[in-house]
Amino acid sequence: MSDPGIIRFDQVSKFYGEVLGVNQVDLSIGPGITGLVGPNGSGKSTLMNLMTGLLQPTEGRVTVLGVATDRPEQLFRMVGYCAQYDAFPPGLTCYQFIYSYLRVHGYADGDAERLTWSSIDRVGLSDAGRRRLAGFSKGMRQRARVAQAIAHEPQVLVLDEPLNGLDPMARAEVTDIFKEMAAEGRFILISSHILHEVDVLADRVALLDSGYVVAEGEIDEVRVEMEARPIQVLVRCERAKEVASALLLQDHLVEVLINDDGGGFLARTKNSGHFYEQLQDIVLREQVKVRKVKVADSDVRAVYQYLIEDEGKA
Amino acid sequence: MSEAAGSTGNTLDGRLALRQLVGTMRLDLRRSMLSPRSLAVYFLAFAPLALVGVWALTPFPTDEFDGPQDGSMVFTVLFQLYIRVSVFFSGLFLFVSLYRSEILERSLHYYLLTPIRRELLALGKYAAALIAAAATFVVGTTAIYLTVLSPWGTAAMTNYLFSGPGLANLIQYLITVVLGCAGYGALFLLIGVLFRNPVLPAAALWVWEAANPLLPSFLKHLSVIYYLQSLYPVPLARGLFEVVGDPAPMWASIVGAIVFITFVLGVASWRVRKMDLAYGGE
Repeated sequence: MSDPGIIRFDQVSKFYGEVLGVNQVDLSIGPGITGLVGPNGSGKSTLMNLMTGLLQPTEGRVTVLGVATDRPEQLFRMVGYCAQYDAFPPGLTCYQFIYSYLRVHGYADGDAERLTWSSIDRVGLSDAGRRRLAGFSKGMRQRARVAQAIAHEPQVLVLDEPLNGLDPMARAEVTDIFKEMAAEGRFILISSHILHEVDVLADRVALLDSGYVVAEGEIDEVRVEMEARPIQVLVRCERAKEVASALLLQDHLVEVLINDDGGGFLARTKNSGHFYEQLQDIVLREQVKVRKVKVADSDVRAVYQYLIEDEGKA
Repeated sequence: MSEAAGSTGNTLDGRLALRQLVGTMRLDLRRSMLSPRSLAVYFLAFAPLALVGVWALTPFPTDEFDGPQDGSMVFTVLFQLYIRVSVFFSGLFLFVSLYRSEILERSLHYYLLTPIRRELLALGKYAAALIAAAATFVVGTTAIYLTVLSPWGTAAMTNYLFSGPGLANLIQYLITVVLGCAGYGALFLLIGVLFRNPVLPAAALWVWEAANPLLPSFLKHLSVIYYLQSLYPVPLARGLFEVVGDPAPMWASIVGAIVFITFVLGVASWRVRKMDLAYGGE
């Protein structure tokens, strides 16, 4: 059922031939800023392209404020999309670029001109408005694309990695625009592969990995959920029962299951760092030969760890 | 609130659609007339003029011909080549790239993110390319026609044009060349949205069009050249193996061509409506 007050992904899957884009996505997005976070190739852009009708789902349905995404004539009255592609029609100035597409929207000359300058001013490109886009720096091109996406003052703004290439000053300016628009009750959807970037902006996040939404909610809830979730480690070694018994003395260990063949065990721990240190100590002390150590549930945690690591670098 | 933001009612919808169509044509006309690919179109349109110009400047025994009306027969043969080579390949360069080049440039999404019906978008892009092609070939055809008549002198040429059938013939050739641009344009637009690599389907189309004289009568109707040839004011000499069919009357050719073009555009628009835009992986 389409809800006019939300953006809704209803059991949405997208396959490119046999390659999975996103799978069984069930997601509702309300007003404010929502972050789509995940590593490169996790399906963020696919989800955004599905939401803006550039792609049609293989299964399921996407509605934006009650409008199906295969109705561009209605959808793009209220949706603006700043895609990740750093490309422009050749030979245009910044002004011509924004103005020309506003004319395709159907705006009359005067309205198109007013909206064009308003959006150019908003992203701080007033002085460069009459210059050709081909001579713009990466950050300026990014701002020009943001200006084009917001020019028709959309109710829903979709931004694929919008802060890429921006210097700190421009980043702060553009971020302020998104916050202002969110404060006006608009829907802002921002993708990033850097959790920290979204952390400072978004009210909610959806965490994606390999085409699946693996966690969603308030950003702090997702953090707690990730950090509280025990990690499973599979160990194949000699004298598995002895090693497992020694490890069980540690507080962080939730559970240990010995393999039927006695040649290994599966441990669930809340602190993987301590677990690996302890395992190393025991192995060296007891002179145990280890054949294999493998994280058994690498998906969600690996994604989170990846994002956290990137956060540290950011 | 500006009109584009909240259209209500049929009149306003109609006006909005018209503005969107004009907006699309405005943006695409620039591409069709000023991009590098348009240079190829200009070359194809005007290179024959240079050849005909050399021919016209070379002294030849005009007294062995009856006058400009014989020049008109020479022109018909040239015009057939002009349609089959210049108009055909210009259509390939101009109309295939309406979507294909924007996909390669990764700029098509800007169009697809506007609140325009995709059918209307396809029509606007097609119309812009058609205006560019038609303007170029109307000028090219007129220039070649006048150059072919020029060896008989200005007085004979003026007499043939304004007191004889010359001007009417020229107008008929111009209608034919515009319909040729429209017909091949529609087919190449369709090829551009159906195929990633248009070379093979374009080659197949060229062979099909070239083989038209040899086709059975009912299959002749499924080609652009059939409708165009029926419009030639001076009929072509028949080939040795040509299958002779009933020539269509002029009005039927024009209506037939328009129906054919409308059908092809309809299929192309339907394809564009259903098109997924993926520039080749994320």
